[in-house]
Amino acid sequence: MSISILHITDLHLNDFEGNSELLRRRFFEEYIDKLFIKVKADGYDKVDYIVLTGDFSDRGKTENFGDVEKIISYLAKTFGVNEANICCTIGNHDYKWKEEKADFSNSVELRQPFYDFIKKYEGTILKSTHRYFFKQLTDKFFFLSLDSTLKSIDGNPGAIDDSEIDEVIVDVLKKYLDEDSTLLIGCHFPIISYENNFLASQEPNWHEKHVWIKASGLYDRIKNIKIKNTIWFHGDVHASDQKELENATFLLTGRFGGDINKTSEFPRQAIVINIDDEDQRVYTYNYRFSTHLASAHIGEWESSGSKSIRTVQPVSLIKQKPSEDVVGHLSIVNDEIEAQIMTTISENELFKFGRFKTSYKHSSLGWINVNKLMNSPALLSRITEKSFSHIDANVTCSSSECLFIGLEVIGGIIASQLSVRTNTKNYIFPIRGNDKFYSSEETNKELLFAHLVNTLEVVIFIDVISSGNTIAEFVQLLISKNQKMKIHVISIISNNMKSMPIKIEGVTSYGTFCNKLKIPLVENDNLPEESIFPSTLDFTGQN
Amino acid sequence: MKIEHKVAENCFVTTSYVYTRAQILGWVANGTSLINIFEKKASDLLLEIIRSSDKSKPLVVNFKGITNIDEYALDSIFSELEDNKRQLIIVNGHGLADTFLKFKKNSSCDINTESGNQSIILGKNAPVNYDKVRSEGEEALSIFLKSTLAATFREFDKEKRLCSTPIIANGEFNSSEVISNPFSFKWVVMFLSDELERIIQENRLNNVKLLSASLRGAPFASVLGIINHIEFETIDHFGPKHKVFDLDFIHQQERGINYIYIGDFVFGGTEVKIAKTYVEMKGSRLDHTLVLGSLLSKDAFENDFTLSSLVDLNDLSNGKAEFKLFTK
Repeated sequence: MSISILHITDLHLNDFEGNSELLRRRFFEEYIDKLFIKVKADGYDKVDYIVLTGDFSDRGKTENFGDVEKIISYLAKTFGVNEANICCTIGNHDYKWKEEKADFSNSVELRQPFYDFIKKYEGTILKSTHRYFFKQLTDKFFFLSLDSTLKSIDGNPGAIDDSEIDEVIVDVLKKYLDEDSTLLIGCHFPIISYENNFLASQEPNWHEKHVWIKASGLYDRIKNIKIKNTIWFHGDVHASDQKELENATFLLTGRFGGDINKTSEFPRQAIVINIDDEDQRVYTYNYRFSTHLASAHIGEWESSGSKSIRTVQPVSLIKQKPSEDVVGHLSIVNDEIEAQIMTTISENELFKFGRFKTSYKHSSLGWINVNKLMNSPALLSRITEKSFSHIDANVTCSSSECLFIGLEVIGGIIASQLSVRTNTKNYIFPIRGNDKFYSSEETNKELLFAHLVNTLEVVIFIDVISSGNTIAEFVQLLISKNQKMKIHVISIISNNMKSMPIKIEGVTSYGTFCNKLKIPLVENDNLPEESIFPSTLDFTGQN
Repeated sequence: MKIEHKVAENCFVTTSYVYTRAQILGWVANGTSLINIFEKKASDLLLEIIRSSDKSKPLVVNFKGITNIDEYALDSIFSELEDNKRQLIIVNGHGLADTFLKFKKNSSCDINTESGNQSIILGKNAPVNYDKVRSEGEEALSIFLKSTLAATFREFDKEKRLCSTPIIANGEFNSSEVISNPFSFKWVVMFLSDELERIIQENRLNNVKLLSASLRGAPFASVLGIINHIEFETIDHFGPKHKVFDLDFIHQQERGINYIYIGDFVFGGTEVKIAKTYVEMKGSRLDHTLVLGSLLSKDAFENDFTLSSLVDLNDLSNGKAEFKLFTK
């Protein structure tokens, strides 16, 4: 069975009667007709569903919903979709967010025009609250509309309570879905970071304003539900990206409407996704103006062809095969967390410049405040959760034959939390500064060495690997106590130096959550005298 | 990885009852991210306890901190108790009574709620002696806590001065031994969590943040933050040897926060006093200190902050531990 879905977002209808929008009264039909011609040329003379992910109106002009309805009706007619198969989600421009009270007491009242507007597209609603509605499209096809604007300040992505998440998971998804189900989720603000999004680097606090970070718990729980397909549809960002992550597909589509006099580096856009039993294929359509002057209003839709997003797999966790290499080759544990780490470091200015003497041989010219990075409970929980999956995939022995070692504060936190989940003994040690900054009780490894004798596999957790020398020395110390043991290393950050790729002799697996950060490393002999460029921190314990 | 869980490490058995805690089962089953939800895997662990424990003893399940129950989580429990011969007493879960009733569906397992005692009784509907439930539970857990912490005392070869404070000791309580053992760690964390909740409620604190500043304090603070939905801050490190690597903390102004310092053991209180200075430099206040054990009394810092300790170290080592002031 093949199903096709048209995704359109961010119509931003401001002045239907004016002359500055592609969706103006005198042009929207031509605009949609031209899109249809291109979609048809790719083999689709109709689609089964249309998903619209918010910002139907511009800046809370809810009085425009009547005109928006005309545009949607024409879309539906052109693409052969009946009203019940139109799936809508609210965006932050679909209510007057500037009038929202701090205690959110008028949130529902402000959104009422939107609720009234989408009534005609309701179809078979199985369950709904102001946070979501869940509708059945066919026997095994469902649409979940999430309001990511509720409990928001300044029109940014809002908050969501655990109880609301529980309700969506327990009362809706687990109740109605099974392993043969396909779930379409409309959610205006992206629930994940899209690392390729160029806009993120152009606006301060971009992620806070555009990513629904506070709903990461909801995302985590949805992804644990075993269903055939989960497809997230996002808008808001006015940019495009598509990716597959942890058995789900994420589609971020550029805006469809809006004032064309406002400059944007990104074209107007629509996408079609086709799902069949073997494949998910996305067709992207961009509207290109014929001249550099967008105000000429003359443009054409272009199809950029199709791309396969994922080959549909049976619902199960994909396990990595443990490496048999004696040199551990770096693997990224989770792309999404990597993006989150990079964003958090950037937005919170956690990368400091200075001279950080990490060993007698090297100094690092950058320092990451990894403790502050990991003070985020959400990030810490996700890293711990993903570390568990990584261990489960890579460690072959039983928990009683395994040992965790947490190095430094963050390594210790992760090791101790995971030790409870896996019932594995763990030890926590400092590793920097040749033990000089810690008490003898903190650095005493006698109990560890005694335990190593009967250990088959060790998992080491560490915050940052800069040159790899310190961790390599520690690994060799462990090997000297038990040469038959397999050793696995998991770091939060591993320095990405092209000239000195990190390899740790003797480890079976080496995973990191972030390998995108470059931390300049210089031999001390190549740096100016300390009287000229003093050490910000000296871990050699000399000073 | 083949995970080997021991049923006995998820519960305590006393003369009359078997005790467990839902958050422990959630942590073991799903990790800390779902610790406040009772899901199917946590329920499977409870089922193991029901099946493996003495059938004549009622099972007491502490639901403190659980905010919701997964719809299918209780199916196997209801099924196991269907003959109504075994009694399961849910304490601190009265707010979920409707959820239990809703998820019971067609099961013939009896459910009785006792709002006076804030409990829910599943299965056998026999009178419950709540004083006995409470006293036996508290005694068992208290014995566990004291013996666990006492066992961490390691004698030095000879008396020496402790790193952070002018005290000479013949040994040291070492919390690494609590952290390294998953059985000890998870249960001690629950003690701390209850104490933290008490501190916050009794003092009506808001705007609370947890602070840790040592290698052995951080594992406790971080998991307490996650369990109780409280922000936490980790500084590397104030002690036992004072060497601060997090250079920029001094410049971070953060007014109006009520900090609670989480540490392992307090001997002279040097780390706590450094923490207090640090917090005040930020424009906030160190309100409480919560530790596993302390040589000092609760009011040792009475003009500054309150010290809460799970145990008094003076009582713990049966005279083995000796601490005295360093005078030269």
